[in-house]
Amino acid sequence: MTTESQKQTDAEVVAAVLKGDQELYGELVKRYQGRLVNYLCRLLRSVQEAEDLAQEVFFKLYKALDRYDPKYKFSTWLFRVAQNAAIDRIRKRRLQLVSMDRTGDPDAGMGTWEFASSDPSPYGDLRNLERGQAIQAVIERLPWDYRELIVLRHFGELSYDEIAKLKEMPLGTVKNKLFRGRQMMKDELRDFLTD
Amino acid sequence: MNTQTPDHSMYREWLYLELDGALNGGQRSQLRQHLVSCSECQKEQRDLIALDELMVSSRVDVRSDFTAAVMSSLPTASWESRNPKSWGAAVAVVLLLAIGSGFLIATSGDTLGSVLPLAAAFSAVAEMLRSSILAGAGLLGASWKGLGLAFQEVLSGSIWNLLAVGILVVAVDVLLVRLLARRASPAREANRPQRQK
Repeated sequence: MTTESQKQTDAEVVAAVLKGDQELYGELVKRYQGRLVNYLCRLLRSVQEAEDLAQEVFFKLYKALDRYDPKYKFSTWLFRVAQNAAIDRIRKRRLQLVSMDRTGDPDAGMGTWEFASSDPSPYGDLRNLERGQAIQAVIERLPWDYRELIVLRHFGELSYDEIAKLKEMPLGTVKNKLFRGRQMMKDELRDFLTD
Repeated sequence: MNTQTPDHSMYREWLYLELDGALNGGQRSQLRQHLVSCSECQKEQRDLIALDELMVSSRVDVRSDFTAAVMSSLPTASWESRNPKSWGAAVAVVLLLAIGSGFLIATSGDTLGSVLPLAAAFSAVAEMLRSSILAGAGLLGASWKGLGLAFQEVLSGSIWNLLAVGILVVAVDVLLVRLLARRASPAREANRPQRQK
């Protein structure tokens, strides 16, 4: 991908792809793949599943690219499609689990969450595992509307404006919910913040 | 943002906004002044930064071949959409040829061939194109006429013939509607209203 294409806005890249430069779509994928996979990861609790779904989302957007309205941000469109896809996936997963074990917890057997450890010592691995599980557990305990915004802000890396447009919420509500959500997280993760 | 004199709880909110780069210059300097004297907000700020770092450190790396995997899954673009400029050039040449030929046809006479050999060649090409178009139009007319006769034959037959044609027409309509619905589905998905869990 050239430096020239990296300077183009998302809308310009979309226009170029629609004119026939299919390879340029890779630039859009590169721009958003990390944010999208991390966002989906936190909703689906699986890196593998998040990557698979992110790939599906990019494919779906490519097929619908001629209907992209440049009045809106590409990121807002991308995350809206991803959000709907993730909710569909979670629903299907729950239906499968409930049909397998009607008495069990729908989230049972989903596995544990683990950070990639930068500390090679066994203590470091354990600490990363604890942190990863703690963050994921706290995120999952948040009410759904707070959880969505926290994940969009911290893992999807969307701005307040982008979140407000995506969720069709007033900007003040977004700020307020993020403030409250992070306060809840901060209180619950106090042990990990002080050292 | 509120324009009244900020109190302690508002400064706490501003700490979060500052972390996200959502404070304006005036608010930022007010917050900094407040932080100098408020140990509670200093602690809150440290915790917030630590929380942010904790979440950043928990982000996962995308596998290195992700972009390539996405790109290889895309449908291949057609030649004409990959080379729109080439099509433009070809159309321009054909148009130029057509205009030149038209001009020659309009001005050609029996003596033109002997006077300007190149012009005569163009004229011949134009005549050939005109003959082809006439032949094509004739064939098309004959085909439509044949098709019309065939339909007339079928429709003027028994009630069963009419019924069979009716079923065929409905089946083709249903097929078309299904194909159109499938083509429109990605846009519907993309514009589907968001749902709450």
